[in-house]
Amino acid sequence: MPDAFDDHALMERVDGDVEFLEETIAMLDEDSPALLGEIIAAAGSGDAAALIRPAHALKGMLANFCAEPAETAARELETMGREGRLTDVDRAVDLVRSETERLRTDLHKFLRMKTK
Amino acid sequence: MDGFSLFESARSNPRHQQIPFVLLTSAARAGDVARCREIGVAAHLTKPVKQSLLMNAIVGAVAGEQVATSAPASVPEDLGASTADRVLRILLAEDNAVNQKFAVRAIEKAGHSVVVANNGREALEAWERERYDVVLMDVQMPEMDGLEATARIRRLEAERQPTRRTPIIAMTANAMKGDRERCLDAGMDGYISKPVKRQTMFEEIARVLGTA
Repeated sequence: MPDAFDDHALMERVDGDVEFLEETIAMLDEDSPALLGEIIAAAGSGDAAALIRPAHALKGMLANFCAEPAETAARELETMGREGRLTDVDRAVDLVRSETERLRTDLHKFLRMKTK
Repeated sequence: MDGFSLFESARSNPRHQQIPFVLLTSAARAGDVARCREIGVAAHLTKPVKQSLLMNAIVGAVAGEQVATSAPASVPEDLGASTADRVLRILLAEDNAVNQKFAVRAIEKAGHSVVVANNGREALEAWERERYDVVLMDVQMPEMDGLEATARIRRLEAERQPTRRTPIIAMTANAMKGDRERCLDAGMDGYISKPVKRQTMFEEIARVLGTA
């Protein structure tokens, strides 16, 4: 399984500022569950159009953390929304959810290592 | 009234002369720190303020120390040689809080000042209120998207005399083919893809300002 995020690229992105990184991770913790909730609701009601905005927002947020797997999963959902293609949506939603959770867990592990 | 004016008017009142002042700004302008030191402001911090820095500043201010600064404010006076030879006033239109935070930090670290609008409508209002050197415009935003906000700004500019044109740079996540063309058609001058990388952002700013 590929790493949830590229730690070297991320540290470069924040200029090695661990305190800033911590603040941005806190924002991800705070904002991503609501977006995932909207995604799950849209997928559950078969509303492709309603999937686009939260998937797009989540994708943009994840991209800041150099988190390729989660970002790719969110991008796929956004594309499904745009194309109105919901046949495999449950699997795609599960993937976004698990990749976002894995990312958050690994970011916190990384943070603990950095602040030790 | 800005913080400096408030400070100066408070100082002119004998009853308020002893109150320590901590100034918070969203912009790290060159010269601000020197000005704070000159007029006797206790501390100058750039927003968003870290709790630890704010605490230190307040403790220092009450203890009578002068001019503590947060990192972005200690920007050298000779700024951003690679991007522009002056401090730029930048309007950032972006609805995502995390994206805002990264972009604001990159802009302030380069010594430029930034005002944040959370959607296209706010961007249009901010543009109406004051003059910016450049606008960084997210394309997909709630309420009013970046394409519509740009089109409205261009219409208003065309109606006004003397005309002046604010350069606008699109920020998009490359979601769809033809994004770039749609942005340029709407009246934007440049284009960067998200997540925004500092170097790419300043190169594009320098390009649209003709300072590259």
